[in-house]
Amino acid sequence: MNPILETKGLTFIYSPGTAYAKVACDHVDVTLYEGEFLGVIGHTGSGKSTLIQQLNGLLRPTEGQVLLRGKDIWAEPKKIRAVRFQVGMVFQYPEYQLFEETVMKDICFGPKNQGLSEEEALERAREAAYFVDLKEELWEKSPFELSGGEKRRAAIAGVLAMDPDVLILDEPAAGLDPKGRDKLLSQIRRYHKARGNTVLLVSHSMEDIARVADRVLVMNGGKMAMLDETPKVFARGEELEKMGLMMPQVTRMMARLKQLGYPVRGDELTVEQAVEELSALYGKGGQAGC
Amino acid sequence: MSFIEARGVRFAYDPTDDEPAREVLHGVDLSIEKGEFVALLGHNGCGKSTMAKLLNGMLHPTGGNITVGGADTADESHLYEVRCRVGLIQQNPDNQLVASIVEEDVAFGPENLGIEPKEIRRRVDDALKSVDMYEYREHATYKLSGGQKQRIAIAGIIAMQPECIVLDEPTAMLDPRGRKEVMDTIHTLNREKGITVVLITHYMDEAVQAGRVVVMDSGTILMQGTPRQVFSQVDVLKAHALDVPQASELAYRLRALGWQMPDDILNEDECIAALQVCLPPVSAGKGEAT
Repeated sequence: MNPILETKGLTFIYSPGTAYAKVACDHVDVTLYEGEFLGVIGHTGSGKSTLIQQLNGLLRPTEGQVLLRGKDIWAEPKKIRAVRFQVGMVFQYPEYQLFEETVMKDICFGPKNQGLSEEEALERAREAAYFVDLKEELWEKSPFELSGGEKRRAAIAGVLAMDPDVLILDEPAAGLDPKGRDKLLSQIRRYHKARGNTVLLVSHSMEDIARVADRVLVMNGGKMAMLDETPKVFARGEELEKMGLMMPQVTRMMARLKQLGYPVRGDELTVEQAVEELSALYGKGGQAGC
Repeated sequence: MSFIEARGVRFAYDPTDDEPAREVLHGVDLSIEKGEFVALLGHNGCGKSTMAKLLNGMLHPTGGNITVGGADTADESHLYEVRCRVGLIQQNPDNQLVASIVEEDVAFGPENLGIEPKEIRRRVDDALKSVDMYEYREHATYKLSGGQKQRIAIAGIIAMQPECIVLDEPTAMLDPRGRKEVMDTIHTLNREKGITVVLITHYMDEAVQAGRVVVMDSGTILMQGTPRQVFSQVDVLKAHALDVPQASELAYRLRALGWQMPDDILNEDECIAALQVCLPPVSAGKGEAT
């Protein structure tokens, strides 16, 4: 796998040189590979947002580098705009950023800024609307007439339409109900599979990360605490809980069964995996009479 | 008569230029006793938030009626009393803070009630202590974490000495640590001050801790009962696109495969205990499949 985005000794200090100086990102070295789905977790104040805002040049590192395909994104500060097209960012509550007269115009805004023709921009926008399942009858409506979930998806489509090589999503499912959350996550997953691009998803929900991410980056106190394949990270439940993070309930239960001596793996991340594991081991309930 | 009584409550939002009047509640009957802890579940658009606003007279029913301590919420002469007795906390902590200093924010409510300064001082201190934020009384509100802000919003309500607090997804925008802080606060207020709690949530682990769970769907009450009664109905909840705790779901799935798991599992401990009964003893049963 080829690296697409790398950070080297990435450090960011808010208000440096003042009494309020705060190191929010402390010598972080992360490599994102082409086509991978990386989950990022960490409690509030752990440095997640500061990290991702440096990845597309919204914040300039105090120290260290961000390399996009091996090239320092700040090598030519005047070209930083181009980086923001290649590394697309969906902020928290992106629906607050909708502003155009119609949904379609709003989705077209990004690709048009990239310099695409009206035709090309529309083509991209239609494709993006398809990915987030935004029905055609909504396209000519004002974004403000849409429901909460539809607004969210329209705002995400606006970033997808720029066709970024790396897509960063900060808590895309926050505030949605379980159904809306499942739907949005599977759309992101589908988009990731179809486009083969790199996705970085920030979430407070371990359950969501467990379901979609190939690898997980754990941030704590501005530092990188863990970076590994998803099951390996969640197998370190006690450490995660000390950082104020909660394991999926089913993972905790399977880990406890393992501790009690049952021959389960103990790193099952979803109810499906746990059922599979238990029924493979014990068939129809193990003991006679049960 | 119960403390809060909703009888045949209907509600329709006013028609707009593009949309005719839309009825979102179609005859809801709900009684809430003093000191109860009720969780209200349902997916977005089911009418939960409308119900929350009806309970403290922010909205008035378009059919049926709601009484709080016998006073009709739609009667203008009772409105002040109703809002004093039932406080409302919303999802976004940033939208609910009005002052830049913590104690000033908490004092805002009682000041508006025309309470004398000495009494305000006492209430503010008490309220801040009850949400465990007393040391922060002179801090700037904008520098607090989400969980802390939400606790300040709750303190602001407590300082008005309501009998009931209605919370509309108070933890939706918080990280796991913030969620726990807020949930602990709500439980303490319910237990120690006897404040009636109506908690609207998408988090099943929060609903499990309630005394009673009410499930809404499409503007009506689908079912209600103790958490154990409600969460044993896994198929009904799933059919309505609602989550169940992972422990309940694991037990349910295994039962479907023929395992002798009880049908009213609510939490991790119960699920582990039931699995231990079902599974062969550890020493004899290692890896044994039937």
